[in-house]
Amino acid sequence: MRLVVVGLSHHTAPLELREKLSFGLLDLEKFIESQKEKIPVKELMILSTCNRTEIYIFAEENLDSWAKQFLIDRSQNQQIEKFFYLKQEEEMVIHLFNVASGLDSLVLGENEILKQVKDSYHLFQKSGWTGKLFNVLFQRALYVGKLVRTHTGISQGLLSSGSVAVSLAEKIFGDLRDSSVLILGAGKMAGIAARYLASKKVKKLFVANRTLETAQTLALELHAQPLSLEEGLKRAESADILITSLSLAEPLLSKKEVQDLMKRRENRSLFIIDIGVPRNVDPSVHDLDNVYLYNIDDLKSIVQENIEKRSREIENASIIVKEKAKEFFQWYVSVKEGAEKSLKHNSSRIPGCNQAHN
Amino acid sequence: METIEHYLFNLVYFCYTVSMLLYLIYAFKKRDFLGKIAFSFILAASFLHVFDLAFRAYIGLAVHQLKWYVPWSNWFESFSLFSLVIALTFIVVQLIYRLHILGIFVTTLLWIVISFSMSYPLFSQWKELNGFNQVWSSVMEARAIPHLMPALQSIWMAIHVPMMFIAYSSFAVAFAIGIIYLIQEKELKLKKLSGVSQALPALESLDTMIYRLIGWGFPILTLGVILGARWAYDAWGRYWGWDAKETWALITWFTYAIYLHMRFVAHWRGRKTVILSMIGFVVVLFTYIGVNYLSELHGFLSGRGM
Repeated sequence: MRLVVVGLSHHTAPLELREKLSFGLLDLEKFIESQKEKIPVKELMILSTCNRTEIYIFAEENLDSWAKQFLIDRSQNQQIEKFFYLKQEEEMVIHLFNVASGLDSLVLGENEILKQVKDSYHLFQKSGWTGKLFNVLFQRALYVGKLVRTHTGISQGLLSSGSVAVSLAEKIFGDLRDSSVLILGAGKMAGIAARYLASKKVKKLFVANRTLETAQTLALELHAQPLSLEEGLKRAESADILITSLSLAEPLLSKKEVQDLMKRRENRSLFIIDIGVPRNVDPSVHDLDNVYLYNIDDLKSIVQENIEKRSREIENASIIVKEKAKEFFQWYVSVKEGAEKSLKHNSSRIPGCNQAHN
Repeated sequence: METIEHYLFNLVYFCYTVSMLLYLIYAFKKRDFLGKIAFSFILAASFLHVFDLAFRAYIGLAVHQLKWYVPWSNWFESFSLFSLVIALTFIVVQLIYRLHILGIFVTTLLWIVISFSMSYPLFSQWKELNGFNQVWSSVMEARAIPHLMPALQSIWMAIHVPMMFIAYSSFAVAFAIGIIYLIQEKELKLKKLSGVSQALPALESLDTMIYRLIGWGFPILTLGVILGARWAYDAWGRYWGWDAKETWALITWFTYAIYLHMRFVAHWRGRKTVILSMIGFVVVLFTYIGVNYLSELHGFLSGRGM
């Protein structure tokens, strides 16, 4: 008997193939129920997300090929086998702990995978496919996933420009419920940033665009008020957060104009996100007191920095994973040997020791 | 009896120290429970501190038969009261805003004040002191219940001094918030959004907190200065004599008046006003400590007074 994982992930297979294998949770439940009689392994757990489908088994040694065939049947594609990886025993434990910790994820340290492992495990536990070994193994995996996230920076730092923008706004204004947002130019990027802010229930949201219809479309989606560009510029002073994404040859706002704007705002803080290409706002505006000007590159570089920070944590995270995997594996070996020993040496025990149990 | 008081004060000092250390650990570990324990230590410390002052008052009045004695009559006692009022102000602010990070700066400031209260004689006597025992006895001498000079034996002592400390404490907490503001503002201007920034509150809320603390402290300062003038009339026969302390109290008053004016009338906000409020606290410290070496009349503490 041994521990094996067979599967494919974003590291080895393209999206089209991953999609073919992917199970929804309900789907998986039904499928396992229907296949119940045909499954020869002792313990089983299948993890399937859009980035990976993996089948974890504890079974006789010749059953690796069964696991492979299971996946091939599912995808109905013989070619898929060359995208598989197979890991055994301690390697399998390390792999599982890496997966649970988000170390094997497309977005390093993401949290979703931990929930997916948990849900899948509960499903297989409920239907009786996990025994003592897998129960300990997967509960360990969930624990290690949490441990790695709390003890390293692997899942810290925001990874999208939109969420960074929101976080910056909150660092300036606190609760955004009292803040007004004005979007000048209803382009795609502005829409993304606006959606993040709209999800925070800001006080007022205005979308101004040169063509009013485009403004109206975005405004409808965001429950915002559409404005013409002229109207929007008139309202600029009432906005605490200003997103500009117009394509103009000349900057829309010069330092002098923002200075005047701040005077009219009685120096209340102003957060400007400049997505326009070329820039809509003179960069020197950032030097003014209480004005915080971030352009899209600033946001992206914060994201990039966060990604780098996360990858600097890989080593620390791996140390924890390896240590915990080793711990588990030692326990696993002792249980396995113990079981074999107690089978083999049942009759040759030293007299007087635990005779009552034999 | 005085020995018991000494133990009690040692306990107070211990609690303040633990609170500060926990807040400092919190600064690095960012575990919420550390902040909570630190806060409960400062709660305990200030509770015991109130007891300590009451106990001193009892010893002074009943045992030493000092008329009009209040337990803030010498430098040690006055620093002791100052740190208590800072702690109480911080507790109120903390209960309203739940801002553990503020504790790091306030408890450090408070700890410096209370440590200085006991150790200030050491700075002038350092060369003459030999060994731990002499240092210790110098500290304990500073902590002894004082003999009162005539000018201090007045009902105004009980009113003027605490009022000034309530005002000063709100300025002290505003100063600590100012430090946080400047760090956060710097982070946002540098476009870093690091872990530091994440742990700190929003600029606008910090600015409002400073404004509210000064808005609370300023009227009390005003009243305190007026009552001080009234006391001066009782003690020295004139309301205002341009003594160094009086002059600097006025400078303090003007600094905060300018802060409020700039915010209210000129609509200054953010970094400039925050820096102004912090300069205000530096002036406070000078008025409170530095001037004692300049003033003839208010030099009660340095022994230069009458």
